[in-house]
Amino acid sequence: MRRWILMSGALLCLAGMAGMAMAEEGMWLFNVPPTAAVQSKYGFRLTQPWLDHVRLSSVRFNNGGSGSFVSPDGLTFTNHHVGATCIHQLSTGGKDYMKAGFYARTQAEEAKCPDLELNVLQDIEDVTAKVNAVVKPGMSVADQGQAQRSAMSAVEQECATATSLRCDVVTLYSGAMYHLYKYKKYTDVRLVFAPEYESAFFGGDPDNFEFPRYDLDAAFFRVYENDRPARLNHFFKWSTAGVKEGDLVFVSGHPGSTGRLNTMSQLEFLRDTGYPWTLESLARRAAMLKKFAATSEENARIAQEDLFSIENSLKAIKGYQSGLLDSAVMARKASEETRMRQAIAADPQKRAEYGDPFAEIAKSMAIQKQIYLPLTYLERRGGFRGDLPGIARALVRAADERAKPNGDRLREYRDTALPSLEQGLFSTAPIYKALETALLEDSLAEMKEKMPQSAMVSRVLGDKSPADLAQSLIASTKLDDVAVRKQLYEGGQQAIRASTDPLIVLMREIDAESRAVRKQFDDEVDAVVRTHGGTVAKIRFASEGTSIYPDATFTLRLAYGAIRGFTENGEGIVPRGTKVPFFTTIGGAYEHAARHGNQPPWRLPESWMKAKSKVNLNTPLNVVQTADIIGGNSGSPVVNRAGEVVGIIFDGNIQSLPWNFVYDDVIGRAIHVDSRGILEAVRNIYGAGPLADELLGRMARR
Amino acid sequence: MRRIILLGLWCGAVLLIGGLPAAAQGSKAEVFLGGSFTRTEGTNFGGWNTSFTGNMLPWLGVTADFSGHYNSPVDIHTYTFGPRLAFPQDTGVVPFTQATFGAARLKVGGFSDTGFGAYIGGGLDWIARDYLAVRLMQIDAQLMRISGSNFSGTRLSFGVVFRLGRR
Repeated sequence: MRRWILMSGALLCLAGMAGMAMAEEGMWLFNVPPTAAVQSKYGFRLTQPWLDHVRLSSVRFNNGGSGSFVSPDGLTFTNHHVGATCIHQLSTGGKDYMKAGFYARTQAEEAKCPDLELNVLQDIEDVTAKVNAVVKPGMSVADQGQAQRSAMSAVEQECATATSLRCDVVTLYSGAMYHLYKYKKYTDVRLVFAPEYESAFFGGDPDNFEFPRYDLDAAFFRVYENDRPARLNHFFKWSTAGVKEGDLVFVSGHPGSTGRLNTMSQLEFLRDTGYPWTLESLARRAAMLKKFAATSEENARIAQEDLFSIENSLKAIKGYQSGLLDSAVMARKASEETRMRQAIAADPQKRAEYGDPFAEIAKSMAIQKQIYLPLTYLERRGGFRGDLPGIARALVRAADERAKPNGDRLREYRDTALPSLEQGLFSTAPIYKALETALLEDSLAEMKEKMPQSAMVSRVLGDKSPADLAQSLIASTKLDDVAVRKQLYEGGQQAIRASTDPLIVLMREIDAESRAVRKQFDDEVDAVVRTHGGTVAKIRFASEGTSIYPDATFTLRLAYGAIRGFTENGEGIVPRGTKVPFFTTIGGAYEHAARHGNQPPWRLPESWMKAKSKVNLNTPLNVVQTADIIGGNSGSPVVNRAGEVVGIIFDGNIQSLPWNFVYDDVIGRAIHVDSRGILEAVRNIYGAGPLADELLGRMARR
Repeated sequence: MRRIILLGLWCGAVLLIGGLPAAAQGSKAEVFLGGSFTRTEGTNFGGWNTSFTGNMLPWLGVTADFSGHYNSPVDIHTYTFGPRLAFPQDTGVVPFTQATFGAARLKVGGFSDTGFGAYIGGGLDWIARDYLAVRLMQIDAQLMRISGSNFSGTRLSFGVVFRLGRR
């Protein structure tokens, strides 16, 4: 009996180890790639030329997504939902490209996005020593934080001056490492092709984060330099062979943020404070926007992008929160932390060197909880939502910050950040006052409900209701005029102090209190997490070596995985136990639409219905795979061993959402649109033959 | 375990019905056509259910049961056969029970797998005419095993029953 128990135990261990070996966790830095792991599991060697080719063909969409170059003539592709901001902004004068789609038959018809910035990573430099050199013995944690922020601005300024590149210092492992990322920047980005919203987001919110799925979530842009298509040395060749089950694939993209290295107190803060507030606020905004959209067809159109984004966030954060509410996940995290704390406690030298960083971070989380409401509603503008209040805040702050030395400014106003700030401030993108009024009214009302005792909130509202105040502020402001914005920006402090624009006056009024809470956050939360989080990372390095990768920071990362279906566990739309195949087809989309009576959100657009007889119904459309992704990876190219693009990441299944904190490839999957499906749709549904030819390298578009 | 309990309950019903005296003769055959819902592993499906029953004895017949249930992108079709027992009477409400076994086909987004399927349950028919009854309710436990996964659920059906040939 005892032998049987031992044998069973050994088998279980082996099974566990096999499971560990299966896991393809990791959002790896391009300068620390997972070479050994990929070689050992797949027999594929990540060479420096391969990595350089992938890095230089990958693009960051600065509005929060990823993309890649797919022709030598600057052709770039991303998800429709990443490009939607531009598509929406270009939909003026009675045109609705979100609804009808867009295709520029010639380069002359390619439409310039008002404020889109694309970044291509040129180089990474470790500047940890430079940033840490300013920390002197005896400095308070708050002073350390300020000194490090100044040092980061100085490093960025020096780099930008020397290279003319965009230079960002990125904090890795909470503050254990600082890397300087140097980007080539493209600000002339033009829309080439976008399918209809109904096709890109087919299945709508009910199918979002689900699989099987049938979305053509892709759009094409072109980067220009000096008014001509940029000539590129690095771009992905379009794969017509696609993928098959078990194939190794790579995802090269910009995951936004993860909390996998967070301490327990940070996770508990999110679980108990951050996420509950966010979920309540998002649900409120979704309801408000639906009500607004119901009032007219035009209001439905202008609210569509915000509503998509809110519903998407709502579902994503519910998924993140499900990870934190899972007692097994939290027990695993708690056990990891206990192990690290015990290792410090058992070693007097470590105790003296590290102190108790976990306790320090816990204290900072308690402070964050205390200041959460004023931080959220005043400093982060949760009580003043909308583009116009955002512009007013930026103008008021920029006037004061630009008057200071670069190193003393708030990070978002440092010299190297100003070009991007200015591009946004002076964007010609349309601003819809009806939507602005609705957003501001609702956010003022929400702030009043959440902070009923706040003297600042009473001062802001005076004797007016949120509705009346929002109405009068938005109706009277002139900030929707780009010329007025330029005048105020160029006029500096004097122009801002003299301005009687009601939104400028409002932002001036709340600025001191807002800055005070920001300073408390920077000194007592951010600086503490930076200092002590860095220590926690060093403890991890000591026990886990270099096998850990930093949490996501919206910088370029490489993930890898295999094309693989999964067995549903009952959280998704198909019954528990169902073996879900690794791909769906274009024919499946027609079938799925028909099963729902071709009614929204399962209505396929007219272009699809007309093309049904011409299109190859067996063409793969969406595919699942195990590469490690999170929000921000949307639009990431999926690349095969040959460095060809085989798809584009657009989503994960519902079981992948807890990956924000813990990766697990048993059921969690990333979802991509297959390169074959995109090509088939572009050519045979949309009749965009020249674009298809350009993708295949057959001819340059004219 | 759940399957064993269901089979036990069904056998009990067989003994109960088999032990009762016949109140009337019933029909020789029945065709049922109806709508149907299932809740399978937490997912709801809508669809149809049809069956053909040949009554060898007033209280004992053999049923061929076919059903299709849909919640895109998943389709479930079942083709099962087995004994059916009923109180053989020509008026009022007739209770019946049946257990059918056969094949189940699960289609997910264009890809399908076939495996074992079974239903164990019963229902109530209200006899409206000699030739027509209304199936007020049929409720069955649904059991399937497809590609190594077990699926269980509950099926609810209702519709009309055509009674063919007086016994």
